[in-house]
Amino acid sequence: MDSNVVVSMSDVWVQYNHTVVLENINLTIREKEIVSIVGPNGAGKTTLLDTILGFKQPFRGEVRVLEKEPQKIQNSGLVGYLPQSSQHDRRFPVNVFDVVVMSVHAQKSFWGRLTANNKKRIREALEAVEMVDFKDHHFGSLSGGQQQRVLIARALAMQPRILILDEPSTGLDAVAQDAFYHLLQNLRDKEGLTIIMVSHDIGAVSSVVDQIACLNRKIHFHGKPKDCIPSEALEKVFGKNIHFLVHDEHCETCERRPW
Amino acid sequence: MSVLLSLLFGLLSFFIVMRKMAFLGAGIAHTAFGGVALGILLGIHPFFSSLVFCLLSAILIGKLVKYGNISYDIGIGILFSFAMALGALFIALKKEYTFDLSGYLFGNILGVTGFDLLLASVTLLLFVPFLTAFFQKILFMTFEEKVARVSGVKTDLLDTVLLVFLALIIVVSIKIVGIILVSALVVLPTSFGLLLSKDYRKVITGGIVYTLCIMIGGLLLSYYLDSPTGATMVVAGTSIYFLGMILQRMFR
Repeated sequence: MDSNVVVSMSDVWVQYNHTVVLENINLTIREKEIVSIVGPNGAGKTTLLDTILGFKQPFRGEVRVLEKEPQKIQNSGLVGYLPQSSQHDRRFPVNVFDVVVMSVHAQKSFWGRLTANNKKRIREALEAVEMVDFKDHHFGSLSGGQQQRVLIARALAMQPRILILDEPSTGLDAVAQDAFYHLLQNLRDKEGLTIIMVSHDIGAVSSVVDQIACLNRKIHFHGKPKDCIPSEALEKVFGKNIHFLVHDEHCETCERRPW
Repeated sequence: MSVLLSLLFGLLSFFIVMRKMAFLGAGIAHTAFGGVALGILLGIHPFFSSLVFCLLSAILIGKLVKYGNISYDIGIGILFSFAMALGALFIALKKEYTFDLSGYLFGNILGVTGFDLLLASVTLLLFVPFLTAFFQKILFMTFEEKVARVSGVKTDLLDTVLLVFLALIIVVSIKIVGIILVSALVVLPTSFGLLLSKDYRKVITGGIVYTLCIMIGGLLLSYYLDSPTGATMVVAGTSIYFLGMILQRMFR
């Protein structure tokens, strides 16, 4: 296997309650890539992530994460995960530092104490997401965007190689989304992370990511966003009667472009 | 005994409330009645029979929810009324026994023996080290279970152990507080603690101190008023809680 492949899925089929949810999935993700998996609701995006994370097992095919079976690397701290939008109890009595520290402790054996190195790492993680000044703030009182950043810091504190995000931009306004995607690019460039992100919003992510995979039970397209995604693929994924708005960093007005 | 129970409930309450298992706590407490009655019927010390009964019920609820495809509150609701009814039948079968029903339901401080004290101490000696060893992991799992699992926390195992401790602590405290009211002690300490602070350390400490106050206060009050201990404690505790809530809103 190519040494810089971090996730490989070959001929993977997954079912849920006796219904096939993912069919013949072939996917290769290399290190230091930002990959977005897009598709409509019910396409199987979360199931795909669950399969990579080891929560679901395919009934056919093979999944390898960092050359191991997904369940085998669950304890390793090599995969950071942000599930779909915040279902946290706002009253939960933890501050930002408490949240970030959780993943570090998860890696320790019982009665493990924080080392100086741990504390340094936690600080660095908070600096990477620009939330150091908030370390004593109550987590539940932060905005959606700030909470996302803290959860990323928590994942970073483990020093993972892969970051998996499920619909990370839900609940973020346009400004926060923009800042968030820039953060992801920084994490790829400075921390060398591989980022796998699921979204239903093809337009917003395409300017930031290295690879897009269009999923609706099957993968109908996998390539660079700059490559023209064939309209048949888009139709198979999203159905007909779709108009796409294309944004990039240079656009001052929205441009409607027929695919 | 009050000190021991304050520590146990102050700590336990935090995880039960934050994991939204309060109804499970109430359910287990009611299930204990069946276990106590079974013990009396079979001539076994009620502590052991109720502990086994509670643990089996907790496991059964888990299985019912998973395989019967019903929700937790339905599973608990079905099982705890079943257990109480079984208990009533067991007592009816043991015709010649004068059973201190009221004492088991509402608590009886005078009925507390050296053995009960020993059980409470042993439970504390098991629970505290377990909690301190795994505190952060349980906190993580309570806050966000899926991510905790991916990050290396053995959530299933810890969940099971917590459930065992829940059953154990409830059964140990039935003698003093009573079955009906033990469920209050599972919920009140942390609810009060959350009125005081948004920092989990203070929430737990506050909960422990609060429980100690209502237990000792409730005990003294029940002595002077000649009222059932458990009931007095819970009325006192709940009143303090509501007062705290009102004061908090006034000074917000």
